[in-house]
Amino acid sequence: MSLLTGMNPVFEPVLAELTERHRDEVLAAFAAVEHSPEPVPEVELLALRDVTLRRSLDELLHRVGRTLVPVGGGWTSGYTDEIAAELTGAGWYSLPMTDRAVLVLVLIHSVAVPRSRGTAEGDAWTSGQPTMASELFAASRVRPSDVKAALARLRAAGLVQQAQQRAGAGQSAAYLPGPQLHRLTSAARRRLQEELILAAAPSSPLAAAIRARRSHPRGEG
Amino acid sequence: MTEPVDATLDQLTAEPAVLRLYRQVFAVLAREAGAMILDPGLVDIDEAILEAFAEAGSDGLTAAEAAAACRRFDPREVERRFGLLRDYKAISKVVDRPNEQHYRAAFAPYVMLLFLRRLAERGGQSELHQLLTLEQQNASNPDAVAADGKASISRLTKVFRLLANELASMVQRGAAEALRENAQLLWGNRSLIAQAEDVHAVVLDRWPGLGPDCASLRIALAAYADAIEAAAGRLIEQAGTTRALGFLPAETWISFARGCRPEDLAAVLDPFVFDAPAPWFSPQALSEAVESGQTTGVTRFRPPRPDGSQEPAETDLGPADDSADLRATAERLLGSHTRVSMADLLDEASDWPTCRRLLAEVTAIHHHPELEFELIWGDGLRIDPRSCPSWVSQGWFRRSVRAGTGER
Amino acid sequence: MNQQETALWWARVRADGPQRVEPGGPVPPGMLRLVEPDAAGVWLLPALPDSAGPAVLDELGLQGHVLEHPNDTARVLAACLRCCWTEPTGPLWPGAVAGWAQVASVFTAITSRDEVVSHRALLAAVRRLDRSGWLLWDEGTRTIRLGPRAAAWNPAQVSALRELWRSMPAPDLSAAQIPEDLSQ
Repeated sequence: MSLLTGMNPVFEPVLAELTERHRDEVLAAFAAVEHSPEPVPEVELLALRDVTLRRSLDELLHRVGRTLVPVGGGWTSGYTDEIAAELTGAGWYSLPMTDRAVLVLVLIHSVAVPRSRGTAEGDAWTSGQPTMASELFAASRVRPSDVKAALARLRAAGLVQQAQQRAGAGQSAAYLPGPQLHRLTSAARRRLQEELILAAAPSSPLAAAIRARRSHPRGEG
Repeated sequence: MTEPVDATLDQLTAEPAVLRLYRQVFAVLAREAGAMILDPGLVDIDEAILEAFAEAGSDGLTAAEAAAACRRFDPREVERRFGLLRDYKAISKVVDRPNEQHYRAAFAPYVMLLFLRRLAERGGQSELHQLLTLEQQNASNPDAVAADGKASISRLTKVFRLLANELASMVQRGAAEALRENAQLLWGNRSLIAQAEDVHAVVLDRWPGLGPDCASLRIALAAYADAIEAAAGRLIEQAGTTRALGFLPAETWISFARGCRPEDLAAVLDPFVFDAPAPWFSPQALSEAVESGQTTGVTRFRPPRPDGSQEPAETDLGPADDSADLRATAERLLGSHTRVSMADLLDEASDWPTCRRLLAEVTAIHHHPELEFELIWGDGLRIDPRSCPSWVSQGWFRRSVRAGTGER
Repeated sequence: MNQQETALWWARVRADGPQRVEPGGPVPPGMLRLVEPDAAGVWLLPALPDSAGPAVLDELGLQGHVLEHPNDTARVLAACLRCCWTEPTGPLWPGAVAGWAQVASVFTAITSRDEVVSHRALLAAVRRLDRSGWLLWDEGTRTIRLGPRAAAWNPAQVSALRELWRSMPAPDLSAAQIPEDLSQ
């Protein structure tokens, strides 16, 4: 139990270089970005505002496989691309199959379709229009009972959230991508876009361009 | 799918593209520069005028009647467009005599407008397909001669050269915006090229002497394919982290979402790691919850929040969480049947509290937005003083219609 | 264990909750090692400094994860705590196994609701807490234990919980019947 008092061998090498006050600031920012479901505004914490302390915070996060992810005027944390690649490279899934399928459906209806219709704003995976329950329960090939169980788990994890319905806009539930999507690094977000295009239109010129880029990497654009 | 209400921004950005297309298409008819319309709204007026004539029948319309039919537009603009259409003989007098007041409209301008609108909306892809189909018919026509084949090949060569040139120059200029606007023209190109190759094969087969012409078409097609590849590559490079999704038509996404097997959908997320749910419970939160549970007692349903700013209010029996249990109950009640009579269900219950609970549950299942079961009440009534309850309305609990047809 | 392997272990717990491993294996730096009562397995759980833990969100005025039905979920966790923590003078983990009926008796006592309503809320919350590692719910035997996350409460928090434990009604140990409506 002595570990809980602060002498954590993973953090200690980074914290040892800081003054006591800065140490507290960095740890508080660590708690904020790691545990807050939403991105934390940069102005709120010294260790997010100050570039040097932010460097220490990022170093701390790297010790546990994480990295800072900028979102708008704030910060959150996510898996480093190397750690994510290593975990998934071994065929390890952090979500059950149906959960991944249902999340993909929500991303298509809430992000990809509005993109194609020109009604999406920004360049994020979180904003977007509601996915109607009927698209998940009646129109997809995932079994309704599986959809239901998956939605419960996805909502608990903050990967999906229930959309607010306007009064009188029909009783059916609707869903949006959850705040956890903020935690994807920019490389992961780009990768997600590419994986979706490769899956939905494998013979499109876009998919060909994606494959060509992957086989001749010229650095991230 | 409902169309978004807030499409005005979208329309604003789309208008210049529409106007550009109109001007491009009619440039071939312009006598001199600077005399083309600058406002796509004028085309709407032309369309309204022509439509008014369609409504009018063979007697035609007077200028004043036509203006009245278009009163949702500025009358001066309507008058000006009317005059212009008359000058170009798109509108002419029913009988050509000095005091004739009635006019009629020609059909060709209206058809042209429809064609233009399609071109502007769909990017011209299907028009190209139609053009190719026509050329195919021309070349296959038993009466066709070598000159017809040569003309077909020559037209197609020029179309594909122009397409390739336009795309390639956009890529070279790095005109990302222009590329994005023309993205629709890029997709489906494989079938476009394949169709052109069919025409090519027919012509070469019938008139081997047209070999050099066919070679030009082959080169034009290859150049078009190259230009597309370069354009797609450029689009992907500049697409940010979600924008490239918009380069595929919405229909592609929807049919993928609806038709794809769950395991293939899931595979999209194979290379990603997400966080497990990790809620935190402070001792204080536990104490407060225990305390409030003892004081408030029965379940409360909070009214919906007017500002809509937060997660759904806590309803301890809200639908979100009960559904699995309710579904299990529904399946148990129905067994292998598609419907069961409420009277039968209630007969199995031993006492009134059990009946009441059963009714409450069935009603909850019926009202649950995500459960495909329903409770239907008829007009009949069964009365049996020996049973409990002693009267039961005629009703069925059944799988709703959606469940039978929705799953594919 | 090198830095990269350590980071991988921490990431695995983040992605999949506390990890149950063979008892003989290495313990990643900075992690708690929680031995199962039968010593057949070991749970690995990150030991965050207090000043970097989730409790800090409150101090910073930041909203934590919004649970569905947070109050009932918290009440169910409290009820399990009351049943599984048989020696409140000692540590929370691993605690004892409690039967469904015992937990239900405490939950019903602290919520005073219709029995059916109460049991449905209880089952939903137990599943929710099981998925997030706060409880270990054995659906087959209908028994409940505290989950590894319960070991992350620090000594000050544990003494606050001890107070709560004392204020709560004791489980009805005679209640062993599984209610009919939940036995499917």
